[in-house]
Amino acid sequence: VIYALTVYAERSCATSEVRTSEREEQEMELGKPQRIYTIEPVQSPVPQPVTKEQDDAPAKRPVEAPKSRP
Amino acid sequence: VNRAPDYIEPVVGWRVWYAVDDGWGGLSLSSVVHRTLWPQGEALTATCRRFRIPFWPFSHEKHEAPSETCSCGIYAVKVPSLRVYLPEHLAWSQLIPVIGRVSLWGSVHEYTSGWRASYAYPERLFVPIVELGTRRAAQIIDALRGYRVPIRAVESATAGAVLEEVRTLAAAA
Repeated sequence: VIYALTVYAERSCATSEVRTSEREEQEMELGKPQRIYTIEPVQSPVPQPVTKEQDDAPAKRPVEAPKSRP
Repeated sequence: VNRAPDYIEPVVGWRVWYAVDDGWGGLSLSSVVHRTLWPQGEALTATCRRFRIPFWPFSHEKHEAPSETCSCGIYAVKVPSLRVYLPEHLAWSQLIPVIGRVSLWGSVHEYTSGWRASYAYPERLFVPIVELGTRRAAQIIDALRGYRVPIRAVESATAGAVLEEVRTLAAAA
């Protein structure tokens, strides 16, 4: 009974976000997950700002081919 | 001991946001269902907002989002499911909808129609500019440049046509 009351209280006192969360779940009809996995991207998906140093970095000097002996 | 990740590339899904005033004179993306503002230049981290009664032993325990026993997490869907979040005629909407691809990573729960994840960041944005006027559309696109992702204007007026245009643009990108 206490558990049921707790669940009821949590639901009825929930903030609008929780209610909309339930709405979102219903709209999406997600059901049970097919798979659960972890992703750690090697490169950050958040684009980094282009720094001034990078802009101003001098272009690499072309590598000169070794001179042939006379 | 940390477990090795299963993948090293983020999953890419689709979302709809609203472009809303961020309170600092700029615009930010806001989730459609929740009122979460997506930060510019940093990943959005999922948190469970389920209401809990403090010090009550039967309350749901705090957990990391997403959890199998909760509906928390950052949502993204496949293109067909996006239709639910768009008004039929965009010109009649008081809000400015923004459609986009989003990268998801961390703990990811995969479903038939989409995903729930612990971290997310927009990957590409499409702004329907119908009825906005050239100047206003340019202002909105400019304000969203803080996300540092490609932004394209979409000229279609109905939800179906917008999604079709977005799909074509995304495929060509």
